Amino acid sequence: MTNLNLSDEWNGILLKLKKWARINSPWAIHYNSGSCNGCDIEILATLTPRYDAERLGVKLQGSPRHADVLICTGPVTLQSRDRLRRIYEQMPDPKFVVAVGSCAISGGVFQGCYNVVGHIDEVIPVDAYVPGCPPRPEAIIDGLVKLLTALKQGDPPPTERPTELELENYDAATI
Amino acid sequence: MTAVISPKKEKFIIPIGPQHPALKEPGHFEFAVDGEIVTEATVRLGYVHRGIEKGAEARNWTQNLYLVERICGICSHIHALTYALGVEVLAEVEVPPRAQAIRVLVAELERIHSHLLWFGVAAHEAGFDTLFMYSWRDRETIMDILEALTGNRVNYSANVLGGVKFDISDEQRKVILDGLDFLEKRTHHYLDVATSDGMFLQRTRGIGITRLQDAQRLGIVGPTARASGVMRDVRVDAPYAAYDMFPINIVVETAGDLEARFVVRLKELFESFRLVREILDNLPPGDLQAKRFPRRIKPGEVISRVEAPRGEVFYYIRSNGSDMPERVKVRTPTLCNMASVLSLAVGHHLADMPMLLVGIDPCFSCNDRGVSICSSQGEHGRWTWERLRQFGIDYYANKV
Amino acid sequence: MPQQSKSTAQAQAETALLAAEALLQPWASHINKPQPDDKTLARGENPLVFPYSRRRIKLTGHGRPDVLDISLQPAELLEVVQTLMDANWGYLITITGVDLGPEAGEIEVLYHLAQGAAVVTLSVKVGRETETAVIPSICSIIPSASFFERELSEMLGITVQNTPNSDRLFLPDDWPADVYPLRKEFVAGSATAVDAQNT
Repeated sequence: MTNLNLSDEWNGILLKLKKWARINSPWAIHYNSGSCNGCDIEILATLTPRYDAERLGVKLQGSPRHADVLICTGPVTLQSRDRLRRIYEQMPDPKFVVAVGSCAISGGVFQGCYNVVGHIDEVIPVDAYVPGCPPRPEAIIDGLVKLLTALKQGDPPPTERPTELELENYDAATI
Repeated sequence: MTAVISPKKEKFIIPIGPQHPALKEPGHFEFAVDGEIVTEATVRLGYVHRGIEKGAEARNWTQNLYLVERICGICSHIHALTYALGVEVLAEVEVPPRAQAIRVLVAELERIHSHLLWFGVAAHEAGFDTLFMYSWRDRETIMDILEALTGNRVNYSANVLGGVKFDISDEQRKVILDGLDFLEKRTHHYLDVATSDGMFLQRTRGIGITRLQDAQRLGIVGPTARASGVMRDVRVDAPYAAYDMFPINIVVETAGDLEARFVVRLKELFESFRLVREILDNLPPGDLQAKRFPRRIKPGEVISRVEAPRGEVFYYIRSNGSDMPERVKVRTPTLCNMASVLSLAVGHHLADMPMLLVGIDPCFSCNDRGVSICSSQGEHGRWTWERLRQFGIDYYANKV
Repeated sequence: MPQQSKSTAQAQAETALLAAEALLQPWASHINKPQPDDKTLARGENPLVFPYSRRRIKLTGHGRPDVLDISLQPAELLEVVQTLMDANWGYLITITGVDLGPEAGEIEVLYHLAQGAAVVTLSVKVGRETETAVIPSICSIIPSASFFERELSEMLGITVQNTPNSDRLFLPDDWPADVYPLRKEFVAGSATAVDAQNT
């Protein structure tokens, strides 16, 4: 984006415009990396008339290439670990990750199972955590709103894919 | 013109999954197509394999109740119920009838929630999003009931070993009855839509027919089997919990197509409404839990079978006398029905696949940036986009 | 009304079990069931529906649930399954593999078949070594057994002869070839342990 050779003033306006668009219509993609479906049906319920996340501009997308927010559920299994990384890498920058549910945060009841790598932020950096088993749709909306508010107030979270070392030391609480 | 692919010899494989917004279970499907017609279908499971059967061997009997509840978030009560019933037989603990009745009550409420959920997702796959939104709006009624009863919307945790956790108060009873009245009215409407809407019927009537013999041969279970005329329902065949006090009428259709599967599930909703009302009116008095439940369970083996919303759930539990099980084997209905989807897929249009897989929706282009080409001789090669692009360039260069 | 439904299911199960026992007559000596003593017979109890608490495998449900389990040699398995299927007796629920541990040196494979409330369990024991952990495939008789057999071979390392497809079903693609998670010696640690074995 910086190669447009715009003046600083125009760059500033462009950045503001992008931020405005990003905050008002975050498109989400959902991936279940080993969840029990409990969180997934609550995410789906979030989109249906009672809760209607679309009024906040949140739209569920089919393709990672169209999405701004990756909503992850469940602990990460060995088989879906690479797939989760791939989806994350396919998403255009800047991208944000919301981990939904106890398992996504800590591994939940599945801690110690042989096919479970662990929680989401052991594989990709997470920007917002929504606790609960499963979280209520209101909580999921709250998590998204908190993420958007953080974006509105401060600098967006790191947009480059962190190195392995950074991943290890990644402190999600800063957002 | 050296590297031309002859359409007769080569198959085009369309990979589907494991990621998609409406996909609740990430499975990876590969459909080999000849034009629009599917000629071969394979599935790769295991994206959500967590190793629960092994994990259960390292947890004690009570902890496992919470682990098996999280095998599936949609029928969480059923898994906990199947496990609890089995462990209670092993421990030779008698469960009070009131607890059994409340278990059945929650199981039927869960069936209502699960069928409405499925109905919405199936409508979504058919491209009927209005119906999806309506059915999920109405489903919130049942979620409210479950929350009022158990305190949670999805993993209710209603069971303990030897009974249930809660009783039903008069206020809760009223919430349930009011909710059911509303849902019954809506279900009549849905049944009307599913059997008379012309556009919808084009996607369901005569599609994916499973004949009675095939259903038996493939070992299909649950409503899918009953839509093909298989008289099989564990609630009727081998009554468990309180199904002997509150018998259920089996719902069977004979057509075996997608429409019949819609009809069976919707008609089962009426049975569930009736049963829930009957239980509320005739709730047996007594305790909610057995007086005491042993921490260690003496050696033995037990088979526990329960009818989940999707079909028969089977548990085999083996105890070695310690406070942890020796082996817990779980067979869920989806594994049986998956085989039927694969065999049904052959000969159908690719566009019908989402409807056949209802709940497992395809995402054709986003993920796999590689095309798999498989010749009839069994040679397998993976083509990258780069190779495909080069092939295209060469093909046209040679042509000119 | 409730009483009637219960007894119907029970009566059907008893009939089904009698039929199964008649079919399995050639292997009757393998049936694992305590022989009813004279007292039981004097009371006029049907020896088949012998109190389930004294059978090996128990069953949940009401009344006197009916289960019949029979121990077979791997070579006899196909014939027994064929006999039951020819008579159209029930359907295959699933195949369970149980590792009995290094001391016993055996893996027990259980084939659960059901008709109504009646369950017949065929128990076959195989060794734990690569050469002895071999069982014939029943897919030629029951095609839907394919998934169960794939699960059996990947989880317990049993070679299923003549099975149409022996690909991985549940385990990840990069799972090490000779690690079988449901074997007793496999410690249910986290996946990092598997990664360590892998590299």
